[in-house]
Formats: sequence, C-alpha cells, structure tokens
Amino acid sequence: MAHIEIIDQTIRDGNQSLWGMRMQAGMALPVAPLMDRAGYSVVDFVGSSMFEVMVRHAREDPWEGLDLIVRALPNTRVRAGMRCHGIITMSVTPNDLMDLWVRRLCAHGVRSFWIHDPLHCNLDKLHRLAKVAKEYDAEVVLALMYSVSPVHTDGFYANAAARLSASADVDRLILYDMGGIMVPERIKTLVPAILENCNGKPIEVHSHNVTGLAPLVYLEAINQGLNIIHTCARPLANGSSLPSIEMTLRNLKLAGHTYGIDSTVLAPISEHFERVARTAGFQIGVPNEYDLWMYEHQVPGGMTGTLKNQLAQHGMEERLDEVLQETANVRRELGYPAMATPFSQLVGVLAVMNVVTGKRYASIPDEVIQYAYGWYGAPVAPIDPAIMDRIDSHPRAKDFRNSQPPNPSLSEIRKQYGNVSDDELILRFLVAEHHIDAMRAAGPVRRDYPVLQDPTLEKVRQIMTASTAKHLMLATEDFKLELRR
Amino acid sequence: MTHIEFIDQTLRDGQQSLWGMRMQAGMALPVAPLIDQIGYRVVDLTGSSMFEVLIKYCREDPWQGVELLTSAMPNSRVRAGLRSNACVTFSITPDALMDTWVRRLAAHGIRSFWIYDVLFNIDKMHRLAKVAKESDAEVAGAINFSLSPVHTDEYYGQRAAELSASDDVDTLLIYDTAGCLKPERVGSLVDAVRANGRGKPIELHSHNVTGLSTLTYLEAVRHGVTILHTASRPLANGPSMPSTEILLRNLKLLGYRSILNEALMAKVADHFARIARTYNLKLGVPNEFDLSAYEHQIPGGMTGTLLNQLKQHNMSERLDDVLHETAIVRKELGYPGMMTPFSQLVGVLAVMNIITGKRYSVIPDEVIQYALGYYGKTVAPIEPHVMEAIEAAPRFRDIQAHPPENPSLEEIRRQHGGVDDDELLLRALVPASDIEAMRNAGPIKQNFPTLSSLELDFARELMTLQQSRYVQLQSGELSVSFAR
Repeated sequence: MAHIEIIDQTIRDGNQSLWGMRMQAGMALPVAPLMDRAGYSVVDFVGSSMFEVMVRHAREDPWEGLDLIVRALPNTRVRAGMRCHGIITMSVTPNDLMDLWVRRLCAHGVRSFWIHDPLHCNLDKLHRLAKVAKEYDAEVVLALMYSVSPVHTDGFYANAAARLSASADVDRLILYDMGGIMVPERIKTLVPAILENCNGKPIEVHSHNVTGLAPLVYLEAINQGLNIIHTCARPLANGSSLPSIEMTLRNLKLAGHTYGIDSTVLAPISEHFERVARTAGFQIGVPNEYDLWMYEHQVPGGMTGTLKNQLAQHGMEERLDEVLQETANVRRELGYPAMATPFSQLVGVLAVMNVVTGKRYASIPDEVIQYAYGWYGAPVAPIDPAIMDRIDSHPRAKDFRNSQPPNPSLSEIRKQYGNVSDDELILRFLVAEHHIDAMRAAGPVRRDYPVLQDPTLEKVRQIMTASTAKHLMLATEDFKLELRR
Repeated sequence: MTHIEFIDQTLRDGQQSLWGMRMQAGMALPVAPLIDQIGYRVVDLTGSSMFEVLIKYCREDPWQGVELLTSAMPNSRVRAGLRSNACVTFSITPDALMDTWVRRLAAHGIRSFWIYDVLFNIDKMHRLAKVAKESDAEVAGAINFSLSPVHTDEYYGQRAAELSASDDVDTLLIYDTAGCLKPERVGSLVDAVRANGRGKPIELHSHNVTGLSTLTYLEAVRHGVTILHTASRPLANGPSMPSTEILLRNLKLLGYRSILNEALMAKVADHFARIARTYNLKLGVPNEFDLSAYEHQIPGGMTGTLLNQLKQHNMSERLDDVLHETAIVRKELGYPGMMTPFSQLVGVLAVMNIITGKRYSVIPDEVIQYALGYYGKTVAPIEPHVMEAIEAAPRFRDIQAHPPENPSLEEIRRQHGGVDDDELLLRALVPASDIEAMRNAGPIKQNFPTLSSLELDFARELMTLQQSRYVQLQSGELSVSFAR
C-alpha cells in the first residue's frame, strides 16, 4: 500500500474553477497558517490570469498578495503555473518576458512551477523555463495535458513523457486532466505507458471531478503506481473543481493507503472558506451528476459558463448544447488541440461564432491563423484541408504566414515600458495602465475578509440585494416586516 | 435502439431517502396531473412505513392520501411496495393480514406492487403476487442486491429462476438499496438474471450513494435492462436514485429512445424544489465518491439513525467504528441483505456492541427470531460463536417456545372488534392514540402554499430567525424594520 503526497489546489484551481479567480489574498490569509500545518507538499497559488483578475476586478496588488501568502506559508512550497509560450494573452509572449516572469515569481518566494504546452512540442521553451526556475532551486513539473482524440493515444503520451522528462531541470511530470474526462479504465493503460518513459521521475495526477469519477481515477492511478494527487478544501472542491481533501483522505484510508496530512486542521479551513463563499456570494462546490456529454465536447468546467455568457449576449442561451457539439467539430477540424489555454478558448470562440452567425468560419480570430501557421508549434494532427483553405484565404493570413511571433529582448521590452521595476513591467504587460492606477488608488491589500457570522444579518443582506421594490410590507399573525428604499 | 421505460420514484423512494417520508399528499397533489402525463411506466407511491409516518408525524389519513393521488393520476399505474412477511414492525406479520393489505391497497387504486423478501421466502412472495392478480395489478418480484461471498451471480440467477416461475410475477426488479452495485458488476448480474428470468422485463433500482448509479444504469441497459427507477431532480441523488433528467440525457446520447415529456418534468421538478425550500426539506445533491459504501452497505438514511443513537450515549465520534462493526456483525449473522428489517437489526447490534464494549451482550428479540429461522432461511450460516451467544440470551428459550402465530383474518378481526379492514390495518400499524390524534387533526390538507419570490423566501426565513420584538436595520438606500 502506498504513502500518498497531497498537493493543495484550494486557492488556485479550486478558486479558478468555482470562484472565477475572485479569491483575494485576505480571504485565504486567516487560514494560511493552518494550511501551512496541514502537511501539503505544495500549495498551488499563482497564475498570470489570476494576476490580471486581481488587478482588474479586485483592485488588489497581486505581488503584495503573493508576498503575504508566501510569508504565511513558511513551511510549504508555493507553486505557480504557466503555459510555456504565453502569459495572459491568447497569443505568444516573448521568451525574455516569460523568463522574467519566472524569476520575479521566484524572487517573491514561489518555489515550485508547473509548466504546460498543450501541443507537447515546444521542448526548447519548456526546458528553458525549467532551467530559469532552477536558478532559484525551484521545483519544476511539466504537464502531460490529457485529451481524448485519435491522436492522443497512450503512445502519444509515452513519447511526450520521454521528451519532457529528458532534461535534468525537470523534477516531475503531471498528468493533467483539465476537462475531467479521464476514466479509471484509461488510467490502467496510460499510467504504465507513461511510467516506462518518464526517466524515473515522479508523476502527479490532477483530475477535475466533472463527472464524479475523479476520485476513482485517483484510486486507480495509485493502483498503477502513482502517489501524488491534487485536492481542494471541500467548499472549493467538486463540480468543475477537483475532489475534496476530506473525502480523498477517507477513501485513501479505506483503501489501505497512508498520508502525512494533519486532518484536524481541515475542518476549520473548510468552514472558513464556506463562510467566505456565503458572504461574497461565491459558489460552493457540489458534485455533478454523471453526464456522458462531457466526454463529447471536452470543454473545461469553467468554460461552459463563459460560453453561456457569450450566447446570452446574443440572446441565444438555449443553443448551448449546439455550441458544445460545434466545439467538438471545430476541435477535430483544427487537428485536435488539447482543450487547455489558449486552444480551449480559441475553439470555443470559433464554435460560438459559427453557431451565432450561422456561417461556419465566417470570422476567424488572429490567434487561430497564428496557430495554423505554427506560431504555437506544430498541431498534433493536420488541420482539415477545407478549413486550412479558409484560413489561407483570410485577409489577415499574409500577416502571419511565413513569419514568427515577435520575440524582443528584455532590454528592448524595458525600453518600451520606460523606467519601471520588473514587477511593474509585468503588471503593465498584463493589464492596461488605468487598471493599475485604480488598483493603487484602492489602497493596500486587505489582510482579512470580514465574514458575517449571524445568519439573521446574512438574510437581511440578501433581502437588501434581492429586493427592488420601493416599499415592501409583509405580515403574519405575530410578525410584521417592512422594507423601504 | 431499445425503448427504455421509467418508474417514477419521486413520491416514494425519492422522498423516503431525502425527506424521511414526510411528503404529505397535498405536497404532491398540485403536480399529480402533470406527473400523470409525463409518460412513466409506473408511479411508485406508498408503503406501510409511509402509512406509519403519515399518521404519527403528519396526522394525515394515508388511505385518503392514496385515494386523492391515485384519482389525480387516472392514466398511471400507481405502485405500492411490501415486504413479504411484514408491514412496519421488524417482526413478522400474519399472512392473512398481508393479503388484506394488498387487497385494500388495490381497492384504493393501487395497480402495481413490488414485493421483496431479503431471505427470499418465494412461497410468500408468490402468494402475495396471486392476491395482487385478483385486481389485475402488475407484480414486480424484487431481487435485493447485496455484496457478500454468498451473493454471487449464480445465487441471484437461482432466485430469478424461482421468482419468475410464477405467472403472477410480471417483472423482476434488481433492487440496490445501499448503492453498492458497481458498473463493473451489473453486467454479469443482469446476464444471470436474464438467463433465468423467463423473458420477463428487468427493472433496476439503485441508490446513487457513490455517484456511480448513473453509470450502473447505463451499463445495465447495455445488458438488457429496460425499466429504470429514477426521481425528479430535487428528490434525486445523494441517498436517493439518479435523476430522470440526467438518465434521459445520457440515454439519448447513447441513442436510446424514451417518450417522457421533458417540459412537464421541468414543472414538476420546479414544484418540488419550491416545496423543499418552503418547508425546509432536503434537496438532493450528488455525493462525492465514497469507498465506505461498499464496506458497510448501510442504506442512506440509516447512517443518520446510527449517529443519533450514538449521540444519546455521547459517542458520536465513534460512528466510523460502528460502521466498521456493522460489516463484521453482518458477516457473523450470515450476510443478510442490508434492507429492512436486517439493516436495522445489524445496525442496532453494531451500536450495542460498540456502546457496551462487550460484543453480543445485548441481543434484541428479532435477532433471536432471525436465528430461529422465523424470517426464513439465512443465506449463509450464522457463525458458531455468535449462535452460542444468541442461544445463551435470556429471551432465547421463551422465543423458541413461541414461534410467530399465523391467525386467520377472522381471528384478527375478532381481536380488533367490529372495525372495517382499512381501520384494522391502521391499528395493526400504529397505536390507537395516534389514529385518534390523526382524526382530530381534521381533513387532509390538499395544498401547501409555496413562496414564489426570492424576497418572500428570505422574509419567511427572517421571520423564523428573528426573536426580538423590534429591529431596524439600515444600509445605503434601504431600511428594514421588524415589529412583532
């Protein structure tokens, strides 16, 4: 029986999957010391999208937030994640800026990185970033992005595992199931294929519990010899997020495995996040019903909501299933890119446009053209010839054909942004300057987040939010309620 | 592709699993005409425990409720369920009373019965099926599923052969109370039942305790099951069955057909969600996968009962010990299926063993009756050391000397004085004082108002929460005042 290592995803992927990355540092800080004691090998926290959301929507300095969290977790490695060729924008980011991003995160205390390339082909970029992380002795985990298609065979992943793990700067690989479409049967063949080719490096598993099967995927992965899994505190687990730490530990114990988690801190952590969710009006994770449809379109959990919003803007919410179906078609036609950033978004946008306009590929985003011309690397399967023709004949095609993404050096980039610190430079790259100004104007990062304790107050708050009438009176035999605006 | 039929469990096992059988007739009446039009093969409605709960806790006449609902669903076959040798009590009910129970349910409009017996007293099951056929009711013979070394596919194949031998049994029902029937087991199980089922249609009923029941259903359908038990979404999932909504969606993706009216289903779901919110009843949500379901096989609702019993002894932290002990007791008692009455008996023994710290120092009468074969033949022998403890129990001799009586209906009628059979059955179920209190509570409530807007909903909660006589609260542009 195995000893299992647990990586906490509560404040990163749980937050991303269920709270739309709206978790502010002060929402986590009060329980950070408990999280530090829990015995997680790593607490995942940072990504560039989360930086963007913090600045734009929470008006909170993400560097300051990161410092606060890192300081509150002195005994735990804090992780950041990135796509090997881009931060934030769907397009390609200059190499020097990617390197700077890693260095600045390290300077602020990040000591673990997971780095992915949905096409599994940009080895030079992956290994270069790994090398930069090693300047600070940070842990490097490269991702095998799980996807289902005729090209994503066990052999495909075995080959990717061999190439990704070949660099001495790579400590681990992670089998990353962002769509929650992994099933226990596939684990039985996939994991042995990966293990034979990973140069003896440990493999982590990360599976979103979209269909309710992720806990079984974890147990089967352990049967096949893996022993590092990703979980979240219960309020931020399940549904489009990962399995809960609470239920995972229960299942591990029953299956005869051991773990080094202090389970006494879990309840107060979960209670805290549940109160935050109730106060802030954030979603509390519940398991989904099993839905075969997920395997069809492979759209990551959080993205379904985005697609729904886009359709709502055109008054076409009822056509979601059609868009999801179209997503599967577009993905096939584009050569089966794994449904992770940026391709999940590109495929999703194309699917929405195709359905909304009623004319397929009538409008093609620049990034799709760039993808077709290899800016992101070689597609895993050829693009459908009919679609490639459409792309070739697009007015913007000439701008990207036979060209490379711009790759200015750091000194050129610095010149462009003027005399600012590297942290500021990164913020300016990520968001518009007026957002940074608004963030500064909002003052320092809050260290906590007051949660309503009294259920009566909570109800009043909800009434105040829900009521739109100017005057509302309700009466029962012994009770009268009046609302006035 | 095959046509799949559904048996609606919203009003019966959905609410039994999630609402503790507290659904009153008036909560379902407003949507009964809709349920009637959805296209279910059968609508399950009642059982003797529901009768008991309605009288004792809701002070509502269950016969009246059954009549109101069956008349509101004139196009549907409405089902009731029974254990072959008992209604309500954990002990044994005379045959004549069981027969009367079936006849009276039929007289009140029931046209479908599911009959179960954990120990498979086939003679009793067939006798009740014959009685049901007097009113041309449909009969489903239940094969209760359980995990143990004796409950093999062959075992269930034999039971299917025995059950299906009577012409009075129309369908076979694979019944998975504990939700421990895995997708990888269901295929061979269904094959075994089909091979021995004389071509009778197979129904499947599985509680979604682990979140895997939907997969189990889909796999069962691939192996030839054509009738599925599901519930409207607010009363589905968790300890209940999978939702009709998700099954339809998945089956459609696999190319199966069904004729259910989904627009009506949405209205029914909406109604029950509002009832749940207004009357503070639980809304079903899927559970996270939990391996322990396969160990103790305790039916969903019972974990709460065990926890309450432990709390009375200030031992609530020992729930996991009790669950573990349940698995051991069940093995020692010869692996009875974890359904009434055995789930309760095994559970009580497990609690007593943990609380007293001395295993089998307290033995309930029903366990002695079970050991003496009064419920039928055990599926595996009781372990010798436990049998010794049972034989040494103070009550053993007495119970051995007095096997359950099997009086005729005339004798039972005489015993209860000149009352009609409906009343006679109520009296067999609950004390006369409860029946009286029920009568005093007045006629059955036919409608349960539900709050329709968010604002009203919150206001109602506030009224419940708020204790002081006067409160005023102000925020920005809104002021709220409460006066009592």
